[in-house]
Amino acid sequence: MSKPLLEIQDLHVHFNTSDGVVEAINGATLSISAGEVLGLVGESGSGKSVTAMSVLGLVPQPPAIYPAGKILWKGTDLLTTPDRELREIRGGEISMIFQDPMTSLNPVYTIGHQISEMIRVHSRVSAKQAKEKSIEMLDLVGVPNPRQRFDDYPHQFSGGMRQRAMIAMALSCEPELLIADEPTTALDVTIQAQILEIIEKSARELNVAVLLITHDLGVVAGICDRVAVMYAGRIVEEAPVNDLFENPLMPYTWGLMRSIPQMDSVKGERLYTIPGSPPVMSRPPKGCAFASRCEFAIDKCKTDLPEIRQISNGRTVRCHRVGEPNFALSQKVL
Amino acid sequence: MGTMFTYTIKRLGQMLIVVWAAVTLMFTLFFIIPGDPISLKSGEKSLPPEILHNITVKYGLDQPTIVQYGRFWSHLFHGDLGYSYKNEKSVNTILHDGLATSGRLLFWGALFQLIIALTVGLTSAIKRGSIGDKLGTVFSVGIQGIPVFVSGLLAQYLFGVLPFSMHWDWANFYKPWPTQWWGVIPTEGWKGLVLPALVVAVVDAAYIARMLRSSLLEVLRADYIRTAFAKGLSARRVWFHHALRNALIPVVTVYGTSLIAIFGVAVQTEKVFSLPGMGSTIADSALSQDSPVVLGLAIVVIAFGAIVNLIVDLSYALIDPRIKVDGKANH
Ligand SMILES: Nc1ncnc2c1ncn2[C@@H]1O[C@H](COP(=O)(O)OP(=O)(O)O)[C@@H](O)[C@H]1O
Ligand SMILES: [Mg+2]
Repeated sequence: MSKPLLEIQDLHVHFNTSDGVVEAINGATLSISAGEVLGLVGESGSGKSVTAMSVLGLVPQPPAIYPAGKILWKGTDLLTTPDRELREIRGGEISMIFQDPMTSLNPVYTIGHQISEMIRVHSRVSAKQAKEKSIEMLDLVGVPNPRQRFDDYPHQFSGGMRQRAMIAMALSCEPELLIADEPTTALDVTIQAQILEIIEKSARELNVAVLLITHDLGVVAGICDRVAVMYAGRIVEEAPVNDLFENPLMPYTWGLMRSIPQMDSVKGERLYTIPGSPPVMSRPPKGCAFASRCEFAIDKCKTDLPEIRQISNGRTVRCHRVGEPNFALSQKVL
Repeated sequence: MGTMFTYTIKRLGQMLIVVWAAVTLMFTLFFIIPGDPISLKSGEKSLPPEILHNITVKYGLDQPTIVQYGRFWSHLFHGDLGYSYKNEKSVNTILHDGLATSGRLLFWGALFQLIIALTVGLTSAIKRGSIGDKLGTVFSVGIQGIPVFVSGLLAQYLFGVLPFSMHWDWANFYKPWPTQWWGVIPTEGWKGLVLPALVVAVVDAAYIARMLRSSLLEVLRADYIRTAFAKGLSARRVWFHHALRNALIPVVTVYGTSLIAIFGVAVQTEKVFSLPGMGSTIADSALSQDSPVVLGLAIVVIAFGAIVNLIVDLSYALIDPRIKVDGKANH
């Protein structure tokens, strides 16, 4: 495997709120290589968005503070990069699309203006060249009649078309990494698959690495190379996508998988849900954050935070029990 | 912009209808209200009946109201508003002279208001929570309740009288600027308009600035602002290009209302600063039943209000593409 493009090392993000400090991210470690599609999965509130937005410095400070950790982009720490240089990276090298395409575009400017604006910020081209490039990008993501639609305002686009426009914009400056934060969550089910396909197809065509954030393991299965599972502000398991589905190691991953509706499940059968609820991040537990909900937890899990361990090539896990001689999760998954 | 043009024509047509209705209503009122302008004009002295009759004939007041009404319109179409009963000037001259001062006061007042509101609103939103922002809030709340005859006198005293009478050092700071600037000496030139225009401006500027501030803070939480930052735009570009235009949408309504209200404020301010504007004309003509002047003023005020409203509606459509100029929302 080539040297990683992005390496998030032991990231900590806290929020100073009126109710005290919320320790949203507590040692997240993650890396992405060039051209790779990485899925970041976890329940809502686990810290996926905060992690992603930290990469681009989009988390407002205050309330956020960064007590520890590094976000290395090709070796330089983005957390200490001055704003001027960070601006060149934003959109130019790393771009991002968001959950709600209905509100992510500025209602008072045309789609074309918003794409061209980004192109002109990052490269010295004429307005005309930027327009041609924008139209080319809109065409790439499957917006019909891109030349006419260039002058449309966001309210004249449907939700799916707006997300396509967002993708076109995000890819317009030939970035090396695209961060997609739940890009299909706000869309109709029928359109979700199309949008995912566009992201995957365009990214592979342009050789852009993708960090695809989702709370839905099903989304990950289709298009990702690797998956990282996040729980309470930490990555608890990382694996190539097939390995993860065939053989989840961490009990939390296993629980997540059992909660996916199956094609062959008996009608009326209740879907599995992980018991309990995630910890309150203003008072994070001392040991493994999942221990209180875990069927396999032992005393040590509640007191000691497990380290990240490499289990096999490309597989890491944060769990005391994985690798114990007689330890096995039920294998009846998928 | 074709629709905008037809819309403008339509609105100006509506304005003419309103002017017609107002003039008709006022003619009826003058007919009903007891007392006649000619004897009011002569004041205490009782004039011989022949002279009174001559004057009545001269102004056409011996004719039935309906004839006077028709004559008024036919003169108006020739741009002639008739003669004042009270003094021997034509209404055209009275309006022209009055508007020369009032119009300028209004213009500079509105311009200062816009500049103050934009600067204060923007900086207090950018530096929200700072001491300046908090002082600005206190100042805005405080100034809103102060009537113009208080703030006007206070301003004259503070800038024009106090520094010199107390021989303060900073009086020298004001020395190079003529006293007229501070409204202490009434003058028809533009210099006498600086302080009165500021007094006119601050009344609503503070309110509009606060509106803009809260509107901006709201907009800055929007997802498209996050998108703009994620695109790699500078904070300045995000503020001025992406946030401000959206934040202006609710402010435009308030600004329009305030422009119309400013008309009343300007009239009061003229009194305080002894400016020869429309202020005294309005009061005097109404009291002395000087109906040609009242009618002329009514037409000016109605047209002003209608044009301001039209500009507000047009600027809505210019700022926000989701708004169609004829009131129907797009999509
Ligand atoms: N501005 C903020 N102030 C306080 N807490 C925040 C803020 N933003 C996020 N958080 C907290 O950070 C945690 C992670 O949030 P987020 O990254 O949005 O979760 P996810 O995207 O996985 O659903 C949540 O517990 C949330 O309450
Ligand atoms: Mg999220």
